[in-house]
Amino acid sequence: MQLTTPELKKYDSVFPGENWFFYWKTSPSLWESKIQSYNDVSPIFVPVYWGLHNENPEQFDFGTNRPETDLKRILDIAQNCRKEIVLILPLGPSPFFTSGGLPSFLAQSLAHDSTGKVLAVVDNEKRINKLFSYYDPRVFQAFRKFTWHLGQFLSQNGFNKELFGADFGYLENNDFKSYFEDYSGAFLKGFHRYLAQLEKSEPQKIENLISTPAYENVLKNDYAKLIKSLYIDSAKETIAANWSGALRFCCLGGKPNDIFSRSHEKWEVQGHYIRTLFEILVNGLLPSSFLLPESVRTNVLQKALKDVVSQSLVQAHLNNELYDEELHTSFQPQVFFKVFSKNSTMEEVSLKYFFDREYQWMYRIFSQDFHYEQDYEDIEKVHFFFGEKLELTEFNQILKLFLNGGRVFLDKHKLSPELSKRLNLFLTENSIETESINYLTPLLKASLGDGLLIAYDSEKLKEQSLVKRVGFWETMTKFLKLNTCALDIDEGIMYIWKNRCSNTYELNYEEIRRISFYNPTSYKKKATIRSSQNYAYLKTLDEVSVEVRSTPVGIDIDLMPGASVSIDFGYFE
Amino acid sequence: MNKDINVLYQFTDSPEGSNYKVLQLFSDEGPLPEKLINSVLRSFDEKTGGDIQFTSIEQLGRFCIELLKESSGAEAFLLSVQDYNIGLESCNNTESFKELFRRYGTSIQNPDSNIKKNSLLSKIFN
Repeated sequence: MQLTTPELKKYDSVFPGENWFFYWKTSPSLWESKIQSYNDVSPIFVPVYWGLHNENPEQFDFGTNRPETDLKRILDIAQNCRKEIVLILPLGPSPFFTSGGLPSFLAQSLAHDSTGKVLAVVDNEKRINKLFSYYDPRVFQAFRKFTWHLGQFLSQNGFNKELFGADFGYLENNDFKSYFEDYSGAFLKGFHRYLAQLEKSEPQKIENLISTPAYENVLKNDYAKLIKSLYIDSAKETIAANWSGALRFCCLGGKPNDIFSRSHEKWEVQGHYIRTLFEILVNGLLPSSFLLPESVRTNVLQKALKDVVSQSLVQAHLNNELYDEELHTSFQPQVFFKVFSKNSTMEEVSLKYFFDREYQWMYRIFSQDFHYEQDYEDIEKVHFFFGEKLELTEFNQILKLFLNGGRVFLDKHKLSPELSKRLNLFLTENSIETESINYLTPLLKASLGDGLLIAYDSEKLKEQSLVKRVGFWETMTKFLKLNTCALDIDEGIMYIWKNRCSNTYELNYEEIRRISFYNPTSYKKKATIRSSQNYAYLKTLDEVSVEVRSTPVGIDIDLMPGASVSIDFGYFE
Repeated sequence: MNKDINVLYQFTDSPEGSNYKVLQLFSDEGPLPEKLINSVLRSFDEKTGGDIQFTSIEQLGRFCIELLKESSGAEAFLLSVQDYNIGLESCNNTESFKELFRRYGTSIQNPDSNIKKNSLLSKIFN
């Protein structure tokens, strides 16, 4: 376990961010020294550059003809240096490759966004990479061929390490948008072929389309998912021995409209990237900064990236396990709330507004269904569910969570009559203590040991003013005894809380909590951490251009432009 | 400081009529301030529904002129999505992208800057 964060390295475009190694950006003769020097990260992500290894339709080069394609050399170097390597196979356009990674003989149908603009991204060397559509059938056929040859190469060379498929994208309105998604002519042509097939296989859907034109968007989504799954299934099949799953990488500076800001130096703002970094984290995605150039990567952004995109976060995404023994001892972003949301109710009842104000970055939003497993690690987090679109299977999982001591907020608005009955029956049959009150909305509070279930009606809440809605959530979270520190911070200061288990020397405390501040602005700023009876100051670390003072009120911090600092507290209840 | 304005718009044609929707509105300094945009939009009757959109290219052009007058910018460059895509083909880096609007867009001059220029010239030469 490290006591301080590692020293920030000088920027090298071969290592453009986090765990990435861009082998095509340097001579093969330098690969060994580069990989040897790449410390403090594990594993090293090596994205497979399709366009480099497959320059002609029938030629697949993994080192036979050109040394810069020698993947085996990279794998051998990694083995000799005892570095863990993970191959990353893009399953769609990749923003850091020319033409999104497609071989030149396939780069024909440009991808378009929903406004008709060509999808283009600025990379870390300020080059503009135009992305091409993966809906072109020739692209899929060539992809299948390429992955087959890649699978053969890996098998013949005894490479038994993990290979992950990668879906690169960006965050927009708290939604992950994949670069695979496009609105090009190739997509539309493919979609019309899909409709023609549906006419024969599922004519009802075509009838729905005729009667409800808006249904076209549903069918377009279905078609897009189908094509995406073809790529994933193809890779799974052809590289079965190494296939370890698909990952989503969320690119900082990679939104289609970022091309405008990133082309104008005065427009590109660091604070924006730090905020986006935290938003990506909140949405349970893996951030990647490989598109950001050296000029933007000043100390404060670098520090934020190092703090947030820790090796434990990377491992968690690879292994799909949030915590294991090793991870428990390292700092993780502090999360109090998990929100399972498939609609915009969270915004409409000002829950997101409340979280952003009082528990900034301490929540996670999930669009997929909740599933309760034995030894569920996040039992202590507060879970939010919404009745609309809730199905029986997921509902039963929610009840299991409650029975096992979980704390649940359930929005009963648009909860199906069947599930409403089921809830009442569940509470009665298990003789669970309940209380009903009316506080802006009819509230039902059920408790069973550590388990807490609060059911409310969001429709009633929506009728209230913002102040009342926020007051409602303040009152609700008081039940939960989350014991945070009050902060007074100047506008523009970014901060994030992290926590880890206490070690044998820290047994006085339940856990150790760390707050890290960043000042990406050009002005001197101030932050104050108000004293709390649950927090014992331990130490200040990683100070860059700050002055930290203890006062009767708490801790005052003066942050100069570009400053950053972390402060550790022992937490006890 | 360059106060030229760049405008990217999307043209759509439907049975309900033509629509010119502004997608990007910026200068070298960054996006135009909302206060500026809203103060100019007030003088237009177009029902925008939150977006900046017009039913004719002339209205869009007039909007740009009013923006130039309010911001004291010299010139605006109007570029459609179609022309943006054509221009983007020749852009390989951000340096060439910066010139995209100037090279491929339709130029609209601030009539006030011409008047001021003329009056300045007339003061010097008369």
